[in-house]
Amino acid sequence: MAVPPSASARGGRVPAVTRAAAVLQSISDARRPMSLAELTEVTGYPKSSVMGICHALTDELLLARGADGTYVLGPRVFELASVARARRWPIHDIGFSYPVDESFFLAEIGALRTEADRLGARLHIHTAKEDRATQARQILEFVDAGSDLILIEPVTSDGLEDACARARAARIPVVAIGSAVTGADAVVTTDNTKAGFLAGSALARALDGQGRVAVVGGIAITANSDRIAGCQTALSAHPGITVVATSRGELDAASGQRAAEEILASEPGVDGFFAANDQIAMGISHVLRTHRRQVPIVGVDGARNAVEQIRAGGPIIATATQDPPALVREAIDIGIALHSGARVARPSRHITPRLIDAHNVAEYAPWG
Amino acid sequence: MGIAGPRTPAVHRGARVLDAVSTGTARTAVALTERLGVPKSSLSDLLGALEEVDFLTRGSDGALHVGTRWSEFSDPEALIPQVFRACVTADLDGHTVSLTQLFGDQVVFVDVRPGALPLPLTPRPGQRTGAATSAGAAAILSAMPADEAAIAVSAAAAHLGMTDDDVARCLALRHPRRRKFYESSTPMGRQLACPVTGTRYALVLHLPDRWPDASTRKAARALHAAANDH
Repeated sequence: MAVPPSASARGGRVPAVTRAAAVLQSISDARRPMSLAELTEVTGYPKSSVMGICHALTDELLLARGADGTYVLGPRVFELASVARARRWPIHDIGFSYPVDESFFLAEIGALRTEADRLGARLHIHTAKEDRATQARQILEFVDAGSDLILIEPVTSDGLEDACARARAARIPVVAIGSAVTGADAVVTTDNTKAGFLAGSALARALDGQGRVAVVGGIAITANSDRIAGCQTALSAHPGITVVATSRGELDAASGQRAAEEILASEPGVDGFFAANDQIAMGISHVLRTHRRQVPIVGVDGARNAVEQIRAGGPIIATATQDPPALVREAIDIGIALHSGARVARPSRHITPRLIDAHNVAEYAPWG
Repeated sequence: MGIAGPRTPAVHRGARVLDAVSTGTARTAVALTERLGVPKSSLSDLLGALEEVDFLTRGSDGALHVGTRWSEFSDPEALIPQVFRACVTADLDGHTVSLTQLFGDQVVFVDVRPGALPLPLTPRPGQRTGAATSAGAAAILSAMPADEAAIAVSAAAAHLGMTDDDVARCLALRHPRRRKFYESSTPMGRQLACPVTGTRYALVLHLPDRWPDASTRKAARALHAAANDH
């Protein structure tokens, strides 16, 4: 049975609203029709007041009065409840599949834990180990487990269509973070073209518009293609700069080391490097130091270890930022909207990067 | 409907605010002032009171929305999201599904997940319909022992003005042997219903008049699974 309202609740700014809430709560708690006398006793309000409230609520279809004068919840209560429920469709379980245990994705996972705590949701996190089939399987596992929302940092731009279709059939939204993937309902990425452009422009400035440049891409996803396209656009404005070598790294420093060794073996006179991510840049940096070469490197991410090199004077001289917490927050916002059945006006969102170099590194707080 | 109410005008004003907010026609104080013609200061107090009791809530952008208190009134255990969530399967895709509860010789649609398929009549949350034509009533009654079913039906008998014969007729809807699902053909269309395990709800699938048997069987199996595995 309902607990009589507290003194403060009895007052309220508009007492009739407070009393109406108490009457409705009493009937909801009782789970059976209640008479005016019972409502008066349970709420503790004067009988004349309860009667006035009940009449008004009945007029508004918030109560229904029976043949014997008792009251039950009216149809409007169920309508309003349905509206409220549709908006606050709770998220209980979130699945997240990411490529590999690298600092950027670990920063995303940290942000995801914060968001999950805020929502009271459980997280199911799996690494796809850079394997498309594994990521597809993980999406299907999230579907079978009845997840409410699936987030993926794709390891590929294509090949997840069937898994995403299964999720869609089960009305589970799939939101890609970091890079677009065919089949996802929405995507949240850094503006990767702009990130590549900012980093490429920084490299061109460091070389005074003259030099032989190597470009090291990342795994075969749209995000990396966009970064390289942005970098090439920036470099193409400087006829004195030539791209003499291209290679592909992955998501870690070791892949950057391999790429740098190969490039230096074929093009020992290279004057600068563009790296599709900061971990590749770290690998290149390690090789250049080993070879005692003073060659500027630019990357994309804004990761802590790259920023420390910028502060120390190189060889990494600039990085275009990504913001893992912002990417995750945006993805969760879109996911919640999709989960509740709402249409999302912009299912593709891009977060604007900024360039961090020696001029502003002091005021930048890196992630990772 | 105008803003009126001889004894408790605030309740009627509050209802108008809820109408406007729930339909999305006005979600800010300014829009509500214009729409309802209520003085700013009165509206401010009213909105404050409605928010205090959780009848209204504000989004992060400041826009007003219907508050969660209403769902607590109609579904105190918060079972509905779980059960509807379990209905999210390929075989129920596009179908209208409702959750009903028994009220004397009537059933109440506690909530409805609208589908895309056309029905003769669309069920609405809060709507009542006769138990005799509802598959949900048979499902709920058949899931209870006979004495419990009698108590459940009788609880609303006085309110609804039911006679002993009415009570008996309603109880006759109960099947002594439980079935996997219950079926009815009504002016609202064809219904299949399953009792929701551990509750006094029935999960009802509303089918178009003509619908392929194979698809119906698949949907019925999915409905049964949702009612049991929510």
